[in-house]
Amino acid sequence: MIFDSLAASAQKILDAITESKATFVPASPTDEPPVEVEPTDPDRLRDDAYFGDDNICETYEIVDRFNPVMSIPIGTPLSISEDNVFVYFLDGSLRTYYWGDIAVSTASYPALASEIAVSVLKRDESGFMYPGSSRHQIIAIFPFTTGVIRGSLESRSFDAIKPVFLESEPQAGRDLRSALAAKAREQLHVLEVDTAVNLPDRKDGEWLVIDGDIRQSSFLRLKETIGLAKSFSWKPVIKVANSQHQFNLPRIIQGLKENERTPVLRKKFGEYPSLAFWYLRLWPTDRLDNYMQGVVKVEIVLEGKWSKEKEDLVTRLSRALIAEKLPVIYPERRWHSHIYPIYQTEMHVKNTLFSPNIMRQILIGRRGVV
Amino acid sequence: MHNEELDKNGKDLPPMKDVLPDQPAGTSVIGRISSTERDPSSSSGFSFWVKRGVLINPFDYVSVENFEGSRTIGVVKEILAPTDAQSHLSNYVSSNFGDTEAQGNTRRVTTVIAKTEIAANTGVKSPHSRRGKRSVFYPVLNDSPVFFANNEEVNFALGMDVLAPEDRLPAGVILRSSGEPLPLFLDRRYVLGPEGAHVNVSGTSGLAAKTSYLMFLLRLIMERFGDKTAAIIFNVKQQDLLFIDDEPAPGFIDEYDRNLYRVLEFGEPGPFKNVRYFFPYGARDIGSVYEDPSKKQAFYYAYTLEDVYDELDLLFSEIEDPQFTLASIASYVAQDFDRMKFKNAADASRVSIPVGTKVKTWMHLKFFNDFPQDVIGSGNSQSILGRFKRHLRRLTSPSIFVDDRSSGALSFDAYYLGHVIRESLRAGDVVVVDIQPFEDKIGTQGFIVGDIVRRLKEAYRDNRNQMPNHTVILIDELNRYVPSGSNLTALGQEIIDLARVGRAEGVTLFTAQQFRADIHHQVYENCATNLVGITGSTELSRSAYDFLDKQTKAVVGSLDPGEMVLVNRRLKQPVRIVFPKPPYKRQER
Repeated sequence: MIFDSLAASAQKILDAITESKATFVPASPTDEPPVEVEPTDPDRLRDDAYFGDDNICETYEIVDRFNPVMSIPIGTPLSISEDNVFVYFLDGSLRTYYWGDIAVSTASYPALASEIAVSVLKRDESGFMYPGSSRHQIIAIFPFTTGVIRGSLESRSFDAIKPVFLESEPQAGRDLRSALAAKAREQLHVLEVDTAVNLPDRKDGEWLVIDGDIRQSSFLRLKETIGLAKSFSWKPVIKVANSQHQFNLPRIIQGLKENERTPVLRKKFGEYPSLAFWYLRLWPTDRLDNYMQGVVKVEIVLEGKWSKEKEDLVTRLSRALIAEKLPVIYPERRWHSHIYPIYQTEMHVKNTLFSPNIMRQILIGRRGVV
Repeated sequence: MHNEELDKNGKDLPPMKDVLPDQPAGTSVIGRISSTERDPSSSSGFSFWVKRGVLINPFDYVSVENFEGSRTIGVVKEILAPTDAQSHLSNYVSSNFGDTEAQGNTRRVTTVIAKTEIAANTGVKSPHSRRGKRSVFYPVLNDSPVFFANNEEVNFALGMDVLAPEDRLPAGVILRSSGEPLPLFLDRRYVLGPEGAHVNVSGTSGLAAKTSYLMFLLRLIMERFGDKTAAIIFNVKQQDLLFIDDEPAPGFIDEYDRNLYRVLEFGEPGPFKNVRYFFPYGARDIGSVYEDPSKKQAFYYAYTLEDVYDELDLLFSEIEDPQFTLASIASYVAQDFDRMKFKNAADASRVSIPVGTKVKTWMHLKFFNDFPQDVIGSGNSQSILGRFKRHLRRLTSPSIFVDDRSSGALSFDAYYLGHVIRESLRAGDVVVVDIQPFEDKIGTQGFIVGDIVRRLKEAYRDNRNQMPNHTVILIDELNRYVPSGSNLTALGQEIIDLARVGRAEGVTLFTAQQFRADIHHQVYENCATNLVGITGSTELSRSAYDFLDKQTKAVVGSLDPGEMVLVNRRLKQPVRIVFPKPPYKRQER
């Protein structure tokens, strides 16, 4: 039974800590929240961090440098009966628990445990979604970049819970617990990449949509894959190539009408030079609260110079995305920028996570000070 | 098409699956138990999601493994198809804000959820039970696989597995979304007595096929238990039941019906046998009904005063009698009829008989005035007797009330039905009494019915050894004779009395009416078997239908003609059945 295995691994980890002459103080089930709170908008947080130091983007697509047109109509929606573009949909989810503190000499260090999962759903030509691939891991996250405890844990093998460590010291003043939670999100991203790369039976022409960004080197090797973000940073400043014209992103978004996109952009000085992106309006503003709603950010790997083929591809993908706006998940949060197959994938992956009550019982229940 | 070769050899009939929808039963998982926070499995029911592509309907039987290998068998009551749309607005917005042509690329997550009531559990071994096993009502666990129940499980759930072959009465066919149709067997001891008795059928006129069901059931009873059973049937609608011993028209019993009879192990369906028809003298000519009356056992019936002097209360049962004067006179006639003689010369001369002559005929009674004062009471005797005679004249005006039934008086014999019942009713007999000509004279119809009921009870009381073990009385439009309400007529009282105690005496009522709520509750509450055909929702909301749950009522509202929901005391759950047409000739309209 999986829960027996989890409990055994948890005990083994605690035994390793004890043998390292440290003391484990488990979290209080009554004093602590059941699950670590996740940021409300992780997509935007990541995007803000991406554009934090350098927010200049340039048009990759060729745009009239004297009279730049920043809203490009893409035509009618492309249904799957006409062109079945998007076949696979990937999303990940995690649930992080505060496990307790490790007291060593005069210091104490938090320890978290996180359940991470990734699901891929496949859609057939009739519009029915089927499970494609599913991955699930439980990790224990420790802040130790080196040391005896890390050495003790690394020297053992664990079946159900995998110990994970910070690779570098967090910035001074940064809360260690939130740094460990960020590590869990990073591990989720790693699992997403691994799942996408190893998707079985995927054929040419079957595009994969990944919820969120694809700013990770392994993602960038994937063919026929886009990242689709429902939320994004407002920081970018878009500069028209070879021109003095530049606009802030909200101004450009404001000008987008339904079924229009921005020109394809690239970060002028970016870590991923082949990563291109654009913004696409799914819903007209008169149905929404403000003009920043109803827009998605699309990321894709495009190598080399801009071409007619690339333009046709972007148009095709944009038309297919417009067709994905129905059905909606109204009145869920961000329904206007969420596409239903990703929502289904999200529901699928969330339902693979164990009950928080069971996880807490395994981690914290029946354990006193070790 | 009717085909004699096929009829002779039932095995050559096409299999039911070629005629009716069928799926393999019992072997494949059709879904899994879904127990949620808000809708958990319980000791009385559970829900399960249904695998895509599996057809399931209300009243299907399913089976789930439970505690210690026992199996819980349930009846599907309601089927839902939820989606993840939070509200109708979600679906409206999903149509691009009301564009009927809009279509999304992805189908919404949806499934089919079947809500099920537990009918039975096969049990776990226990020394504290007669059958060696005790039923378990432990809730079935989430994710347990669900199967269509196989034949044995359905029979067990309905209690048919312990039915002795000699007690099995086929009562209809259970159609299932999976598996072959299954015959429903009732325990005859709960239909004909003594454990329970009486059958009542209700449903919308013209659609519910109430009379057809009762006649079908009666035909099977006469086939299976005709050596112990007789039947008395009242024809109330046109000439519907005046040809029940004739073969049906070619093609009337079609392949569908023959297959149902085959499922019911009924072999070759044929009309009733040993049928005697009794027509009201002067109200219907036998020659107008049958082309060749000599080929029929058809007779006339009539009533002389000497036949029914003790049943004037039945005759007057529709008359309001607040001072009980009519009741008093009727009682006197019943008790002292033999001593009633004309003492008054003037009265005697009016009917041209000598003084001292005994009162014998209706005519005599109409002119008789020598009632004792204590019978008439302290009121105005002329007025009281006048009232009595006025009603007597009116009520005996139909032609069936005669002064002499003999062939000398009527040119052919007319029989007194009470005598027929008492003296010549034997096992295997079917007596059809035509009362349709009096459909606008409810009092006369009530008298005829009441007379037979009363004489039958007397016969069972006084002459039990000569009577059949069981006699079935079939009365349609029961609401005319036993309406709901507190004012019961003498006839109503007789029928209620029969409903209460008839099973012990061997008399069973088969009754039908359009609206169950329109008959007295003591009739249907004493029926061990109740059936409901298609019925409107307004009627179903009345308290007479409280024996059906909400989901069953929803199904009742959409039944087809020839479908019924049957509730029997011996069965743990209502059962949805179909039945074939009764195999006799119908009147051509």
